[in-house]
Amino acid sequence: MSTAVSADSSGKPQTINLEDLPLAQLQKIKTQLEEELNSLTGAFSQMKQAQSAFRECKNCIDEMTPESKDKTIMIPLTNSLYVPGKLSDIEKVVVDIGTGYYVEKSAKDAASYYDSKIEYVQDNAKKIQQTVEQKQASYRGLLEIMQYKLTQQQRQQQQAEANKQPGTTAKAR
Amino acid sequence: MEANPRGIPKSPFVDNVEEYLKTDTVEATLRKFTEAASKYKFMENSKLQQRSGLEQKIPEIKKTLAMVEYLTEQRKSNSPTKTLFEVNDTLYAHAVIPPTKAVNLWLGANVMLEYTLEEAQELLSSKLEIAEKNLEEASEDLEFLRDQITTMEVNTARVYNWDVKQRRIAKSATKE
Repeated sequence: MSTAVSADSSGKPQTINLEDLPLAQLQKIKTQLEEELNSLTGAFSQMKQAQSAFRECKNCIDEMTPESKDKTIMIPLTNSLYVPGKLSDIEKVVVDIGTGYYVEKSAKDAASYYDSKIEYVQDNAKKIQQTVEQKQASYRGLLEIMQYKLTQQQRQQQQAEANKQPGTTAKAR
Repeated sequence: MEANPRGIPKSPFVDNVEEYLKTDTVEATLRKFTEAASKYKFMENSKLQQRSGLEQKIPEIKKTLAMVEYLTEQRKSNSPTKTLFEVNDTLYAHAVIPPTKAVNLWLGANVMLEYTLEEAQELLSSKLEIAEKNLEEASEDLEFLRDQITTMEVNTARVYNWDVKQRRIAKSATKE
């Protein structure tokens, strides 16, 4: 007995018995589930990307050691313009916290900021993964039922064909 | 056939359908017209892509040129500049730039060259000029292509309508 959980118009979760639905509606639910799965996997990969970007930032902060102070580096001024210069301050960095706000933090504080960001994204990614697994399970159940209904329909059609030609079967005897 | 400065052929406008069809059947003419229309559309697509690529590059070149001009100004004052530079997407760090007479330009394909400030300014200005000229030409070509596509579609419609009329006349003639 396969059921799918969905929310009806009042927002309460309502279990639908998939076996009772006709094939056309099952098709609709199938396409709906496929779309949801696609968008969820897209969101999941975005989370992974964001996580690796934050990890990179954290690595960059770790690179700014006391040895690198006053070392000559290539400083990007635009996408294609670089100038030789020196790192002036290894203790303080500026972090873009979003919505146009930039905050100057000590290297340690910035590292812990990125750590908490990584954790937050990790939690979200886990939640998305759980939802994806749920949807995949209902999708598989749906496919089974559709297969079953299809074979049922085919068998019915074959029987209808056989019943339509009583004359020929009589001749065959 | 005439062509515009970039070698795109101009489409002929079929004024008198009957005259034009003396040399070809209706099907062959219609096929020729639809082929030409799809060629124009393909060219239109590639010009559109070219234009959007240029529209992205031009502001970047302008920014880089402005930076080089700023650095030239700074050099006159002979004092090092304090700045923040981008280490990563959300991370910036402090740096000090001593007055320098050379800059490095990233030319793409893993190539970076060092130029003096004057050379860099020349190179960037000429790049900007070429990009702007290309953008103008691409926009012109796009307008021209739009016209040709419309002309071809009108031609196709006229030939088709004339053909329909002819068939109707032939049918009513055979009925009598």
